[in-house]
Amino acid sequence: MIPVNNVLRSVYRINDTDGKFNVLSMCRNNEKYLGLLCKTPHNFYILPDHPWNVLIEQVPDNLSVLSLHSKPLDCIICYDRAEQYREAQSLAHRFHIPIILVDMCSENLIRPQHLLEGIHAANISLLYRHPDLRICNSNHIQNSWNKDSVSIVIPMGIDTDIFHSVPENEPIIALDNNISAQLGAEVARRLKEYSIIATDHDQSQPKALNRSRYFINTNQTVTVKLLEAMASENVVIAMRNPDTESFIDHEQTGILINNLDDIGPTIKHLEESQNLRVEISQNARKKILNDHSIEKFVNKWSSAFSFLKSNFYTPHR
Amino acid sequence: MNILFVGPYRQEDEWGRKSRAILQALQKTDHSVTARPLFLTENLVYNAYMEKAEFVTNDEYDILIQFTLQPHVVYDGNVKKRIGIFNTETLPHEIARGHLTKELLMDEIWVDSPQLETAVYNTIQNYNPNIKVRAIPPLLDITNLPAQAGGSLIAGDPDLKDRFIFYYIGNLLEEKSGFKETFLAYMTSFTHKDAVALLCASEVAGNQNDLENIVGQCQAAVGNFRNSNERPLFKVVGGQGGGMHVGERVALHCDGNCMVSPHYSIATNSIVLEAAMYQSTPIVNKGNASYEWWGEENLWGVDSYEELCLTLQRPVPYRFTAGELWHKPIIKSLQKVMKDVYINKFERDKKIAANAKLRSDFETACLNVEEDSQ
Repeated sequence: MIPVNNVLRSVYRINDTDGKFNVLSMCRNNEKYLGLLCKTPHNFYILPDHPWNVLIEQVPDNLSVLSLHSKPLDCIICYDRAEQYREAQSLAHRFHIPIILVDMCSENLIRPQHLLEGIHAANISLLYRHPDLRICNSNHIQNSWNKDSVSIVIPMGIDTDIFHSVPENEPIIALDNNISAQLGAEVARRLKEYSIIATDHDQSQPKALNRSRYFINTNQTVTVKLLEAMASENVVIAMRNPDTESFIDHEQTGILINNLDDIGPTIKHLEESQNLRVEISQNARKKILNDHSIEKFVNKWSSAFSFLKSNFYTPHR
Repeated sequence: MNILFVGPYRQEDEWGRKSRAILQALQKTDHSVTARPLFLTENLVYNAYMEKAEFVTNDEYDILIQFTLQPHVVYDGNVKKRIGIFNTETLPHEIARGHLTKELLMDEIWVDSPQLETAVYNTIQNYNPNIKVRAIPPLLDITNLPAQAGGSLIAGDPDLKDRFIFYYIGNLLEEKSGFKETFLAYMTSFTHKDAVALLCASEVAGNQNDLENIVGQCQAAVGNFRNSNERPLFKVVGGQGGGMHVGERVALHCDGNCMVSPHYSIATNSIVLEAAMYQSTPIVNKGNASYEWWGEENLWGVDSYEELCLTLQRPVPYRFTAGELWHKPIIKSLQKVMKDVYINKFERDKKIAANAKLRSDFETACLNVEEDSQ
């Protein structure tokens, strides 16, 4: 790989009539978000070391593995300050390309990813990164971090034509398919009397989330799958924390619980209060329709890429 | 014409200094110059100065100038002319075609001296006689080089009072730097009775033990030529915290009387150009590009001999091989020159007077580029 090509590209892309960016993306369990990004008209590349997991999402047409024959790159995207940024920074240095950081969660929740995890950063200031551009999933996330670099809020986009309710008679509960067996067992142990299904591994129809009535958010943060569940009129049950509180109105657009033991009683209560359950599920879909359209997501990312048009790599980032 | 310049001008090392000098000389022409930085090292000191050429945009570019190592160079079909500057430090001797593939992608190659111009042209023309080779004169970015030093590295040192100061700045551990020859010539030319000192400053962060090893080896090589208590004064200065910054360098140029730089490289060295601008009449190999341009009027020339470039310190594959030549200084000649510098005040003053004119030369130097595409 010769960075001069990427350096020249930083000059020529300003007048590039094609308008397509060539984006290198980190990909470590980021298939869902990257799948959304691939709905923009740009070319995406992932590293051979971190292959695409087809069990999470099918490979989009405009995504390929980076090779010697790839086009000159415009930027690199990473999705995690704690675990990806250093590698992304080193790649930015190697390829001489600017770096975009997508903040998926607020400062408080930077490490605890799922419900059983309790790891916290000893010195959070080590995670104050200085990317060329920061994309935040919400205003809450944007405000929680230091504001040293330029940031744009881009709410995740959901395809509401794919994710919509196909009601079933029995109360099916959906769980993220991409979780550890231990976590799945912990949740299932508390919901023995209900049928539990995993979210889809592929493009199968109908979507599992379209059939389910409840979605247990096994992550502490607001994920793409949580939004897909809301679009499918699931009642989303999430652990109460600053990120979920800023996104879900308790008993309006979803349910916030304080610990795992609240799951069973909460579902029992909702099954007994059908009006409340239906109202929550309908509000949830409305919220997705209003705030999380694919069109808005694609347009905002186009603006973000335009911002980088005249940008080029500097190593102090 | 619209010129696109790609080079390591934000590095704080010799590549950075030369790159900035070339970029500035291009900007003094009527051409529109756009620049993008390259970084050739992982452990770089980043120069965050505001570079106006980074804000210049054009719809099209006529000329692309790449100042970098050969392996990084690319062929760009968008421009009419491609110029490569590779900081060629050795004379091509027997370089295989396969090792010149990147040079052969260029329309023009710029080198530091007429001697290099001839040698590179003779090598290249066997494969592509249309490639031009051009010698560019010594250039220096003087933006951060004030006329007077802001301080002194030796003012508080009573040992150095009233002494004639020879000094050396460079990478002391690098074979081609000529430090060993400098040290050997100095130790064998003077004694403790001479009012001289050799100050040595490492341009890059280095290990004190490594330096002591080199000094020890040199003293051992001299043998029982002189008692250890009769050796002339030698000191290591500057570089506190690793490497020497520009303020310390300027101070040393102003504190010192004569910079010694018998570097094996044929290319010009910015620190030698700086030293001359600060009227410190540098000693260089006669085979060096700066001597070729300026001669005895500004510099003290040391006899040197062409030698195959045999080294284990090779920055890139296929370069600095036995297929190239460099100039090794003759230590006996360096001895003679150092003594001459110390004794011959008349000659020294003549060179100082010539050196005094260099600042204005650097200020006005510009590099015109012709569009003549192939």
